[in-house]
Amino acid sequence: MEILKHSLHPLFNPRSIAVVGASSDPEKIGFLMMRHLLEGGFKGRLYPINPKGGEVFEIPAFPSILKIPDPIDLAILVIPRNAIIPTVKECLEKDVKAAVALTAGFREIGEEGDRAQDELGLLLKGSRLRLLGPNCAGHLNNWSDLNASIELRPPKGHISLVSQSGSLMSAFASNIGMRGLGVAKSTSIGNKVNISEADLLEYLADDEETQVISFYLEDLREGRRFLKIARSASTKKPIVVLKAGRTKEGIRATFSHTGAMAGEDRILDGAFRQAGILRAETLDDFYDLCYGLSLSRPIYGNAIGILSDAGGPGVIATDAAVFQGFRIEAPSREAQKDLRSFLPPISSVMNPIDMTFTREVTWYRRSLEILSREPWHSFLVTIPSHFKVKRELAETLIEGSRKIPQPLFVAWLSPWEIQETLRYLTEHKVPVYPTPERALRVMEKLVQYGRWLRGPQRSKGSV
Amino acid sequence: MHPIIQQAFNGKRDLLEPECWEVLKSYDLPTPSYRWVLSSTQAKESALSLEFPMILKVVSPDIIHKTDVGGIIMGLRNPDEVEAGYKELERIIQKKRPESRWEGAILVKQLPKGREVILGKFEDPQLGPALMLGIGGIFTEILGDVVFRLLPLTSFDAQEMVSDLKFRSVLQGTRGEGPVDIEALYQAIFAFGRLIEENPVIKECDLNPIFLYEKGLYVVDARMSILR
Repeated sequence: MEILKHSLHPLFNPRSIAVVGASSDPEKIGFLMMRHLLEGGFKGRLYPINPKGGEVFEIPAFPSILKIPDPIDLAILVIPRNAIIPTVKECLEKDVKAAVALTAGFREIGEEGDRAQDELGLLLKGSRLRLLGPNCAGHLNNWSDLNASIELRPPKGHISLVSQSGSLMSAFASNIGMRGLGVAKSTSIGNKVNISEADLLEYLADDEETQVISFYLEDLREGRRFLKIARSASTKKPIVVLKAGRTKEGIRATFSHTGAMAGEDRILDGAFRQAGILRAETLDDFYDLCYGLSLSRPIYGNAIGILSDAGGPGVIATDAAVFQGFRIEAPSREAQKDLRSFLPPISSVMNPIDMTFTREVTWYRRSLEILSREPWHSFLVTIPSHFKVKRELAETLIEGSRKIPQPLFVAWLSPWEIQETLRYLTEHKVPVYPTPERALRVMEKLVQYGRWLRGPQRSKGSV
Repeated sequence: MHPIIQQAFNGKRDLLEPECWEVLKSYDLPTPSYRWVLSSTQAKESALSLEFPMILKVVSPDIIHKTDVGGIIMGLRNPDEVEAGYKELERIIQKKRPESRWEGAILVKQLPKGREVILGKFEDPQLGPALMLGIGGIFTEILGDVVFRLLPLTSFDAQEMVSDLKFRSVLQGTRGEGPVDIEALYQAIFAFGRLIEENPVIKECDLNPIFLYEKGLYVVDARMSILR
């Protein structure tokens, strides 16, 4: 039993929520928020706050948070900007533990919003109220049936997202869900007037339901602290960051979005590597990495074995592997002999190992077992298509992946035909990608992660 | 803090090149042997204790880009040429930058060309001081192949920086030239990191170029500005 809980605990595990600006009008955000909370299955006490009183979703509304007789853990503010400061003052008076302000019109709109944000920041300084936002889309915790967001709800799982874009929460939910994985906690961080990316990283690092921590960021508000926490958190679970605003034009776009100022981007490449953070270059990488990191584990070297049942994909995979910095070495003579004992004479066993087309699904497993004795660190199996034996093939790959010590990745080139099989492989922790290149981009990051975990730099601190 | 840097800080001025070299030397960053000379006669005498060919470089707090004003004279093959070279330098500076403060010249051995790298200090407004590494010439200037690490640096960081360079194969030797002394480079990066860390009053610092050889390296040119 924890005696000291993190200050963000009431944000993600509230027992009571007040929705300030709750509404029965379907056009209002206050309506959507109530609906999401109720549909999400929130089990705690819910208090709509509306000056007009009455009922919202058949729950009696209070005219003000101060009129609620019970303690409130979390206040969700869906009110106009000029009502934020007075409402936050009421929250402070009521000793509310956490608050989420979705309202826009602060730093992101320029000077006038700047002043409003500074005023809000000052008000919160020295208090114990932890406020998310402003200018955010809310947050959710799938493990406590809490959907306090205005975005799509993802299936339940173990990837946690912190996003400086509300809409990306929905895109992420959709993408990750489509691949058969799920989200633990998703947070739209907004303008970070109080809760910063460092605070959330600190919380998620110790959160048992989170196995992969992912960030979409446009700037760092507490950069040094973020990196310092990451250094220690990365030893527990992988951290993926997609940091946007890498170009001058991109930075200009961010200023209007969340009013953030960005520094020199390439310095972050270095800083992230020092902290063990894996940086996604593109949105595709971001999804692919979250998926791969959820299913696989760090790779402790760059010697790779490529197994294929057709020439072309093997060649493509080999080129891609070399570009990603992998070493492709021939297997030992003994392994070659063992492979030749059952593979046809026209097969090639020099790495890539091309078994040539076969319906003998046992060949995949047997080959992998033989090759796993080589001093190699990971395997990529490429499969173009196998309409007749796909289930058996999936079984054999799952078995193979359990038997060999090295992480195994699969590039199955006809994903459209095999949706169910892909899900099945994902369920059994075998990562599958539609092309070798995409698999190898992720594997390269796992090699980087492995190198960092084993490297001597962890004995010295930075930042 | 290094006493020379302390002095410069107190005097609200930047370092002169020979002062940079003294600081680098104390951090075990290899610099070529040099003499700081203040007259053509002194130059000629000092030439006897160094190796030919030699270079004379003007020392002046007001002249940053020496090559732009012809403030570097190369290929001096004997003491007479050194003496004449010094006088030539005086003439050039008098003509091109008569108003500059003239503090003599550095007489230094002309080093054979090595593979060039650049090391510099970069200050990030939020993250603080960082080191920048690049391969000299077009790789940095046109292709933008530079790598950063925040301070303090570990020796692992120094090694990883080099392998992060996109064009690191250039360091492995091309066109008949052998690979360079990578160990020496790692050590230089690490030492430079310590130098910057221990002297927080340094505003900007560039070691450009550094010549890398099959064995060892030399810092050929160095600049250091101090916070006011």
